[in-house]
Amino acid sequence: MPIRRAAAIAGGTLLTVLACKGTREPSTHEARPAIAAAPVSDRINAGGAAPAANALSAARPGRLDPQAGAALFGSMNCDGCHGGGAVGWVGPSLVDGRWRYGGSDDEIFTSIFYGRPKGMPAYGGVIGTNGVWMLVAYIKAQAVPPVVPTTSWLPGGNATATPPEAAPPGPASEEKASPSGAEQHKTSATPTPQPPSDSAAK
Amino acid sequence: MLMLACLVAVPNRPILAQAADGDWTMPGRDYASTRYSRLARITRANATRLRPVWTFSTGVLAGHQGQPLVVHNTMYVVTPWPNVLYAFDLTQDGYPLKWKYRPDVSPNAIGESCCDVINRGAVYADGKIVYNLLDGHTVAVDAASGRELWKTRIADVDAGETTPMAPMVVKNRVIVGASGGEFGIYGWVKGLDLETGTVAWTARNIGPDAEVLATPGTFKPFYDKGRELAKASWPDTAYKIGGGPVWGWMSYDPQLDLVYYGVGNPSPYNAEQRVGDNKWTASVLARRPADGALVWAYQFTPHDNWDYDAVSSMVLADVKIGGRMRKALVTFNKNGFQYTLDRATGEVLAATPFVQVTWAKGIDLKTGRPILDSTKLTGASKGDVKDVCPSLEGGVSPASPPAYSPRTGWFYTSTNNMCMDYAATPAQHLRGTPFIGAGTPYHAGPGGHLGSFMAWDAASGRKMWEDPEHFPNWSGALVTAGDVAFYGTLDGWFKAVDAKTGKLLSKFKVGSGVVGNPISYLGPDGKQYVAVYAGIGGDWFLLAGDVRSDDPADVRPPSDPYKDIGRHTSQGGIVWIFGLGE
Repeated sequence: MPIRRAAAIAGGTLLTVLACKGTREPSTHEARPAIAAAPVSDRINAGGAAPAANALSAARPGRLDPQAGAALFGSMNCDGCHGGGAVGWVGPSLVDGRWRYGGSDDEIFTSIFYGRPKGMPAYGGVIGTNGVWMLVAYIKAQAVPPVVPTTSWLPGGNATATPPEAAPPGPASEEKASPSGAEQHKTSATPTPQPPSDSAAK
Repeated sequence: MLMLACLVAVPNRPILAQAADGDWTMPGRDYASTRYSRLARITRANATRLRPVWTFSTGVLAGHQGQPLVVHNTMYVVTPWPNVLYAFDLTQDGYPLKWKYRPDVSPNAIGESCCDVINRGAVYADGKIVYNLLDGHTVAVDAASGRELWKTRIADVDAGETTPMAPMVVKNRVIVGASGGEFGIYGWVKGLDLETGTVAWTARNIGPDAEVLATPGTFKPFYDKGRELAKASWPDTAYKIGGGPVWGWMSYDPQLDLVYYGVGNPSPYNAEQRVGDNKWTASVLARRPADGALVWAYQFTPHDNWDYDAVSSMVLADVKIGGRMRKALVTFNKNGFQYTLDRATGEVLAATPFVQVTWAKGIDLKTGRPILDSTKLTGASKGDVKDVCPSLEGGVSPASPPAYSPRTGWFYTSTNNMCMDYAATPAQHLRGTPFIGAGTPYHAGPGGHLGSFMAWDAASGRKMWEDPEHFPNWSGALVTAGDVAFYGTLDGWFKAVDAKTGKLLSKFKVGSGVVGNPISYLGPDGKQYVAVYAGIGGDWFLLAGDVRSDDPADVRPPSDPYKDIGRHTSQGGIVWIFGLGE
């Protein structure tokens, strides 16, 4: 941009509209406009398999058992980047109620099927639409802890070394021995939902 | 118009075995990787007067591993991804930039990096600054002008290869390797031509002799016999996704003409998927720099069950063992043993635990092999194996290299005091995704403190003194001829201690946890300075719970057993320089 013009803008009042992509509420059953469904070329393709175009147009499965998605979350190595229980590791937490690219079913589907910038691989080429919808169901079924915005080290706060309160059992919690992240550590702090003690083996 | 005062490029300018005393031109200061400064103006008597003299925000929030370089009165700093290279003019008040180099580097490397988007540093050679971009490229930049001279693709991010390690330059060879032990890579090192950046040779760390560059007559491992050792110790073609990354440090002996480097873990973490010793993962390799030929190899942890990467710094020092001085290689392995090897042959002269060790009862010096505790073997069929020490962060992280003082004869190193439970599960290799198969929560080792900084005598296998720290200690070490040692803590303290006693002389809160390595140099004013990065990260970006503030869509709970790290530090990116302020 010519220097003259930049100076004029800098001197005046800047009206900026910020599109905050990561802060939408998780959607329930609202109809949202379909996210652009064309595969983006500069993504990592899981397994080296490129995802098909127009995946959101395909018929989506009916009610899905989050347990099936939990199994895929391990076998597709999702926990290797997002951590056991998806609490965050190399990749961001998927259980904090916050979404970088939107938390509607379609937006989460698109993130997984087509990948995202910064190295989120596209999985559509290896597990197809059904597999990705199973993962969406699993992720959306994870309980969001009640006190996410505040971490407190005051006495009685959620970051103290005192034993954590028992978290409410989640519907499809991560089984304890599931694979977790690189340079290994599976977090076990509040308020991540803990698996019920009789959870089935993966 | 810009007037550039260019140094005349002189081809084949001799690469010095080590820099002038006041400079720091390669990560370990010298080819022996001593991280020892001959400067003695800062002493045990005056170090209490150390104070900050300068800071600079790198503009990047991520783990600031590695170290700056100082040469020709210029300080060079490489940031974590996106790997900006800064050149600061130390002759001017406030050290303004001479230039900065902002490479084109792919953000896909972020998601293919297991352990944060760190960079472990650059090297200065022949008027060039040479370093690796995270996305699988090596670059050479003109040290005077900042102009990019060459950029060579060495690794494939789509396959899970990333390149944070610091290159080594020997004569006209740039030697580089790739990370990806968590992504099932087929690990290698490459030798590039310093002038042009073209790849002269590629040597695998695992696989057939022809790929490993192991030739009978040249390759003489001390303990092993036979051919195809790095293929026969794997089932079928498991080596092709077998890991063997190179993410640590390199050393060089000019008399023997050998480059030494460690190889990381085998893939996957579930060992039952790869029966056999899995050579040469978790090993130290000695290669000829000109052609990459393998001369000897020693495997610290055969058939690794615990992610005990062996990429720690290999310090070359003379050590008295059995009554005589030996030309040795000293290393603090992730597996908790401090090894002293004959660096000409790879024979193990001594191996002593330097932290709590439970996976092995000792190392058999006749065979070089560990004496295993069979109750600590892991694998998918073994369920949750409890109390394996050390944790897979290591007795010390390879990201935290030690220092060696020829004055005290001691080695100075950070340590982690942590153990783990290890539950392996079957893992599926899917190109570009993690290939792991284990859950491994940590807990504190004996004593309850999670780390320390210590002085160690390799000749006797003894700890000489130890400064316990609340958190695991993750900085590299520096020791000087003034008998002062320097290190930083995970909660953001930069400390100077008496190298003979460990007594604290000076400390300063540097704004973020220290996971990088301090250096010392002489300024243009003839004064001694110490420089270090602050910026928590590396594995601590994954482990420390909520140290992130810049992404409202990524909020994490505090993590056991260090729930209070986030109370003392968040991510940062600051270059600090300390001096006596005289």
